[in-house]
This record gives sequence, structure tokens and C-alpha cells, in this order.
Amino acid sequence: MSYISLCVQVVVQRVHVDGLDRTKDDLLTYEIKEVFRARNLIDVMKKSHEARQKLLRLGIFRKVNVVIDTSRGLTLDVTFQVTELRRVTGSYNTVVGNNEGSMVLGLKLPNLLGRAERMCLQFSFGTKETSYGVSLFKPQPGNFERSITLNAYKVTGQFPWSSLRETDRGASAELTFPLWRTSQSLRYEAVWRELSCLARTASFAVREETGHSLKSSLSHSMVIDSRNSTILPRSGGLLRVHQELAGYTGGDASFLKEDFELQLNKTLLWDSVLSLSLWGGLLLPIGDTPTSIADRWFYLGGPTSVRGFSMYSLGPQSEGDYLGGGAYWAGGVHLFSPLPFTRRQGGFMDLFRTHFFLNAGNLCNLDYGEGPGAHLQRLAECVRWSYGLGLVMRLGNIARLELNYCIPMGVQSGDRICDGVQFGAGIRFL
Amino acid sequence: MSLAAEAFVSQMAGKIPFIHVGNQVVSELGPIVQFTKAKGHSLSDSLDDVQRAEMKAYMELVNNMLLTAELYIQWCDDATAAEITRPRYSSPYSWPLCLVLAYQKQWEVRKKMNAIGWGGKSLEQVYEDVSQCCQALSQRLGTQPYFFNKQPTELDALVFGHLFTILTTRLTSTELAERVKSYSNLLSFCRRIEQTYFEDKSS
Repeated sequence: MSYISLCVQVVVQRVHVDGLDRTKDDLLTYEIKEVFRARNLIDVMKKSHEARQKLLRLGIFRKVNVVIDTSRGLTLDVTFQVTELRRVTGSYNTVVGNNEGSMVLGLKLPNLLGRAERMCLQFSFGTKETSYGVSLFKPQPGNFERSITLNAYKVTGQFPWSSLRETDRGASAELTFPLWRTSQSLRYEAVWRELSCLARTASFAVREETGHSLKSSLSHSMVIDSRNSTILPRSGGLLRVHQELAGYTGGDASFLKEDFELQLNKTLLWDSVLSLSLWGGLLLPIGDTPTSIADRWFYLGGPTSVRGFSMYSLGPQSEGDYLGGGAYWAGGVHLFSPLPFTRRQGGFMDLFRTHFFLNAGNLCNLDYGEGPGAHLQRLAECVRWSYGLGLVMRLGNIARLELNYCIPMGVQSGDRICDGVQFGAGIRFL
Repeated sequence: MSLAAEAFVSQMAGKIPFIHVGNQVVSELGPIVQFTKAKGHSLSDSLDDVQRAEMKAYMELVNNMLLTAELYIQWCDDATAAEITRPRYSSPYSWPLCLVLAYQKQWEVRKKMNAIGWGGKSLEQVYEDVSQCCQALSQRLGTQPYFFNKQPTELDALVFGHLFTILTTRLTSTELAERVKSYSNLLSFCRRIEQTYFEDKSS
């Protein structure tokens, strides 16, 4: 057995990857080439660890182990022992929500052609609706963050707050690439949208929106995320800007839509976190074509946005059906703190936080003949706001549950409120 | 009503004809008649039970024969479907949605025709069915101004609706309209209703 001091110069002579079956070699060369650059043992260990993370990130291996061994003198051999994922993996879930239960069958084909391509199929059989989709994902070898995604789907959704059912059949192509510290994506989408009434009591304003339409749009989105965690972060910020232009590439819908989301987090005394967030959006019709409810007018209200109001139940409405608006803003101030009397970091209690919140927002339609001053005035009058406190639970690293006591203020006639205890579950929270 | 408008309206209300009262939408003739009856208006109040049964039978005849024949000629006759019906039906939609929706509708109608046994019929047989239906209506009408005495009923409204559409809609051949035109009392019945109820009397 030979020993090498940690600081002595070493050379990595060979890198083996064991356990490859259908993965192409050239893909891996890009990911592990940094290991050859290591000059001492600590460096080798560090670079090997990074390479291992990079290999796992490809989503094609179930397990990656690293073995570093001396070969002759001061030269090293690094061996990655990998276990590839199966050709086909399946999943089965049941989902309950929105007054319907559904069974979701997923089929994933990782590493389809040996260069980390992925194909996903998803079928959802609901008690009322059936949806399905297929997507193809292809990263650029050696530059995993740069990728192309193709998608084809049929999705049916029910929107009881508007008495609408929407069936979308569409296809999209998306190009994602990093630029400086941001992640950018360009997307083209063509969707055949079919709107119908959910009930015979649907208002006439909603009935007028129903029918078939075709949207063909180009969109761009940019994300900067420096938060340390997507759910209940302690520090960092998020800026997401999304813009969509429809109408120049065919189809019936023509509009320009701008939407942004900003979130800042800062840790204060005693492990408490102050979180500020601001959302805003604007939908501008282009030419004489009026925008339709299917162009996804903005909706506001509910446990994930302005708390204290019922789900998407504030702003313009007709006979009890909420129509959404062409412009909105919403802001929130949250003070999260750990549960009292829990000392230990980690563990079950760490999933919970208490929070105090103050939310505000407004949703309206703008008359585009008026100037920007009048627009700001429209958005500043009749502001809905609410405050309260509650308990937040983190679910994995994707979703969160909230149980809040809310006091809604600034309620306008027509808004549906949820005074008192409100329960919320979701992925994106104000 | 044009097919484009029909496509639009059928999305809104389900079926035509429809009325919009307050915040209620009532579609199709039967429900509309019931709705107005509930509000205290009915055209068939003066009829006795026998006449009412007769009226219902004739209305079924019109629905089963004239309506089905209209659908058959519009969607199952290839020349009419290609030249008239599909372009009309798809006119409000943009490409390629117009093609998808028009063929989808055609497929639905043809499936329905097969289900009720009309799939194998020839165009000539359908014209013959229309003639028979008109003959029956013509005999019932006789020399009266309306089907039942001097007052119009739901049957008059239904017959007028169908015959007037057949007479005024341009198709690839005028054969269908010619078949109707050979019954002169039906023709003058249509003219009478049009003049009495639809023409602006001040002009």
C-alpha cells in the first residue's frame, strides 16, 4: 500500500467509468474532464465530487460512486462506478382536488438515445376530465443547462370561479439557456383552445367568451434566483419576468402580455426571516382584436395570493362569475419565524414556521385610451388588502401548506371573502 | 341563421334557437315553448287534446324528416359539403382550426346519419322523403291560413322555420327548394307568415 501526502503534486492519469450500458462516452467526457486538471489530492477529491454531482444532475444515473486509487508513483486512477436508470420508469399517483379525483400515470424514458435525452408521457384519467401530454427533452452535451424541449398535450381544466371549462390542445417548442446569472427561455406555442360553460347558470359574459380559438405565441422568460431554497428561503432573491406576444405568427388571439414576480428574503434576529414580494402584470390587446378570457387574464385572490379572499374571487365579475382583469399588482410582507420552544435545528419541527403577513393587491381592466397616469390611478384605487397570522408547513422542497387566520380589508362589492381561518396549498405563493 | 352564426351560437347556448331572458338562457324550441308557457303565454291554448296530440305528431314529423334531410344534404352530399357547408361552417375560424372543426362536424353528422339508418340513403331518396313530408304538411294545411284554424301554433313556427330556410338558402342544386315549391299552399303559407310577422310594416 502506498501513501500520498495531501499536498504533494499528483497527476490523474486515467478516469474510468464503470457500469455504462447505453450512455455515449462523449457525453461523459464533458462532465468529468475537470478531474484531469487536479494537481493535488485534495483537488482531486474536490473535482471528483463535483464531477459526481454533475453526473447525477444529468438524471440518467441512479447511483454514482467515486473510487480514487494510486496507480504508479504519483499518478492516480479515478473510477466512477455508475448505475444507469432503467430504460423505462413508471409512476402512478392519485390526485384529488378541484372537485374531482384523477389517476395520473407517468412513463419516463431517461437517456433515450444515450446523451441524456428524456421522453416523458403522462396520462391523467379524471372522474370528469382526461388529460395527456408527451414531452421530449434534449440537452446540449457538455452544456446541460442549454436544452431544447418539445411538448404536445391536451389539457382540460375547470375554472369554477368563472363557470368555465377549457380544453387546450397544443404543441410547444422551448429553448432554455443560461446567460450571465440568469436562466433564459424562448418558447413558441400553438394552442387550440376550446372554452365551454361549466354550468347552465353561467353568466352571459362568460357564454360570450366560449368557443374555439387558436393562439400562436412567442414568449420569453427570464429567471434570476439566488435564494437558498425555493420553499421558505432564508436569504436571497428571485426575479422572474415573463412576456408573451401573440398574433404575429397566426391564430385568432393577438396580445402582448407582461408579467413579473419579485421576491426578497432576509434573515433577521432569532432565525426569523423577512420576506417581501411583489407581482404585477399587464395584458395589452394588439390591433382591434379584443382579448379573450382564454388569453389568461389575470386572476387574484385566494390563499396563495391575496389571503382573506376566496380563490380568484376579486375584481371584475358578472353575475357571480369572476372575469379576471387586464392588469394587476399584488404585494406581500411576511415575517416567518420558527415555532416557539423548539431549540433543535432540523427534525420534524423544522418543517413548520409561523408567519405574520400583510397582503395587498388590485385587479382591474384598463382603458387603453387613457394615459399611464390614469392607469396608475385605477390600480391604486380600491386596493384590497388583508393581514393575519398562521402556520406554514413545508412539503418536500416543492410545495407548502398554510393555515391562516385572515382579516380582509378594502373589500369591494362583488368580492368573495374568506374571513377567519383559511387553508391553502400550493407551489407559488405571494 | 347562417352556419357560421350557428356554430358560434351553439357554443354559447348549446343548441339553436335560443332566447336570453334576464340571466337565463333557454335553448331549443321545446324548452322555449315550455318557458313561455310558464310565464303565461302559449300559442296552443285554444287547441283541444286531440289537436294538441296531432300538432305534436306533425312537429315530430318535421324534426325527423325535414331536419334530418337538411343535415344530410348539407353534410353527406359531398359536393354540397365541400362547396357550401364546410366553407360556411369554418368561416369564423382561422387556419388550421377551420379545417379541423369542419371535418369534425362532418364526421359527427355522418356518424349520426349512420346511427339512424340514413347513411346508406342516396340523395334522390332523401329528396323523395322531403317530398313526402311536404305532401303530408300540404294536405294538413289545405286551404286554411294556419295549420290549426286561424291562429298560428308552435307547428306553424317550426314549419315556417324549416321551409323558409330551405327556400332561401343557396345550395349547389336547387332541387330541394324545387321540391318544396311544388306545394303551392306551403309556399303561400311561408309568404303569409313572413309578411305578417317579419316584414317591417312601416316601410
